[in-house]
Amino acid sequence: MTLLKIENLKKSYGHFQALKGVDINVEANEIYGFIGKNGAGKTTTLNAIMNFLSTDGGSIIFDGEPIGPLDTAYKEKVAFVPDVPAFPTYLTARETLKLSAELIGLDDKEADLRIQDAIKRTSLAYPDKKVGGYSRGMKQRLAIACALLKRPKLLLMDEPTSALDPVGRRDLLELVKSLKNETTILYSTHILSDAQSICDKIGLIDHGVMRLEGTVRSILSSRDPFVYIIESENLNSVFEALKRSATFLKSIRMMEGHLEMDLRETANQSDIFDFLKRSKIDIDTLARKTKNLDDVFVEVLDETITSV
Amino acid sequence: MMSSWRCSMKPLLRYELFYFTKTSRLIVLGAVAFILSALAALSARYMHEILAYVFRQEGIEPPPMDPVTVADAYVEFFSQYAQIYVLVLLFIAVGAFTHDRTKNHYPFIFSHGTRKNHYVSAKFIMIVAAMLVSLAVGVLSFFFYAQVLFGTFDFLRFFGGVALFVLFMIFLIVFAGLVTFATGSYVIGLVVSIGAYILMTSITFVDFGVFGYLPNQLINQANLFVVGDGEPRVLFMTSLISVVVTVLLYLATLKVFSRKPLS
Repeated sequence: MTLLKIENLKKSYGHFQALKGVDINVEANEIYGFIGKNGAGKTTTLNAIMNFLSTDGGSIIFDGEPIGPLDTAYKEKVAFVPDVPAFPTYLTARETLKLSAELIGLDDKEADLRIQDAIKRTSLAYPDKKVGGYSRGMKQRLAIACALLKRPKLLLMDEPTSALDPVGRRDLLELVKSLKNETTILYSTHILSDAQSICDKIGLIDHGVMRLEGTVRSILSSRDPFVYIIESENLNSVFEALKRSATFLKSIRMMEGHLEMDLRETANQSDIFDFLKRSKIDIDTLARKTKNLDDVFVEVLDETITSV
Repeated sequence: MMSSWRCSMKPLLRYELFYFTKTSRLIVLGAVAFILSALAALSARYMHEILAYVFRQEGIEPPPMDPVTVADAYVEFFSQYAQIYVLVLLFIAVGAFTHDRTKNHYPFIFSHGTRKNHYVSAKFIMIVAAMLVSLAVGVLSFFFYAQVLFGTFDFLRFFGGVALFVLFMIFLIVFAGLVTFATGSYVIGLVVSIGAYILMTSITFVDFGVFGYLPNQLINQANLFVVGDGEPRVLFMTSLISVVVTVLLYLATLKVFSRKPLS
């Protein structure tokens, strides 16, 4: 069952088109990885879902009901964790949660139960400490705790791990995974390993347009499973020669200290060897590695890709 | 359990109350009111002595002066408040209007379905409440000092003047709210509000036709009322028009903020 359906969503800031017709389908009880570079339109899309800004066109349908520009009632079922959670620094975490519970409309007894549960589930340390003394990671946990109070049908998370240390990031991903059976999560990130490890489905946005949508497996299996890597002392000349004459290449890109190549469907590794031999090009290493989501992301989006 | 889709005013008022109490703004406002009130009574009572001392220091015999009365203290009270208290209140009010935007608290507040008109109303209510609490402190301290120094106090007259002053302050707060929510800027909100205040109080001499009943005449009217020179018809008309203008500004603020993006 589709819980969130976005069709042809458009938003401009002056002459800049932030969203050029975004389409998203989020099924109930899945973790949807909404990935894209910084500035691709992820936060704008999430802000549009939350009605934090007006859009120029398109529709957002949540739980079968279209969301109007002035609607607020649907937020009873939708929680939002912003990329940089900010809370009044003069309140303790517990007071912040209490205030959240009041804004949600919980009575005192239910609020206390849910606050205890949220503190426990998010492992929120020092709940009676003022939020002003909290680290970024603790504020993220508090934001998630506030979101959990609502027991939402849909949880929107905007780059929640982008500023966390590795341990904080691992813990947060575990927490997100543990929520999977209770709620649907739209998880925005540019960290693809995070998306690959927790998401059922991926949507790739670039310059306000969706480039890909599907399960991680279907996206990876729809492409050549390998990326080929060349290391050489004369990287520039190898790059130019391959780019100019290698007809078996789909794309080639200059990376830090090596070249990366995608081959056309009909080509294989021996075509590279033959070409290098024929052209008398010396290289140090030719290797291949199995593609992950990062490679697909770079292949689809990176401007440094040179299509051959 | 989840209540029916609810009015968010109560938690919003609590949120604003926390802001005023836990950040000491209420204490600052109350302290300013207390000090200004004490100063007003003391300076009115001893102004002649101070002037006479200054004259004698210069070797000049002080001119004869009318004996001071409690009415001089009333006038001094409004003068002190119009010069200092108003500015302090504007600083605090504009800060309260922009605080959530500049500190990025909007996602926390509005992701729960909080209505924008409730949010704006809660801000206005709590700022006005903070002003009334601080004024209560100021009025009580003024009453104490005036009673001790002058031995008399006309409650009715003084409270009438304070009521007119409060009406003017509410108008000014709502005006500052409109400018600040429209621009989203602390600096612009503050500069425009203070500029408008200075302009309004400096053109009170323009009092022909409807100009004689606009909100900027309220402080003048308060001064006239406490010394017993207030004209009931003018007082009534000025108050009525001020209330109408304030309500219109409030509605305009709701409209302006309803169109503002929250990100």
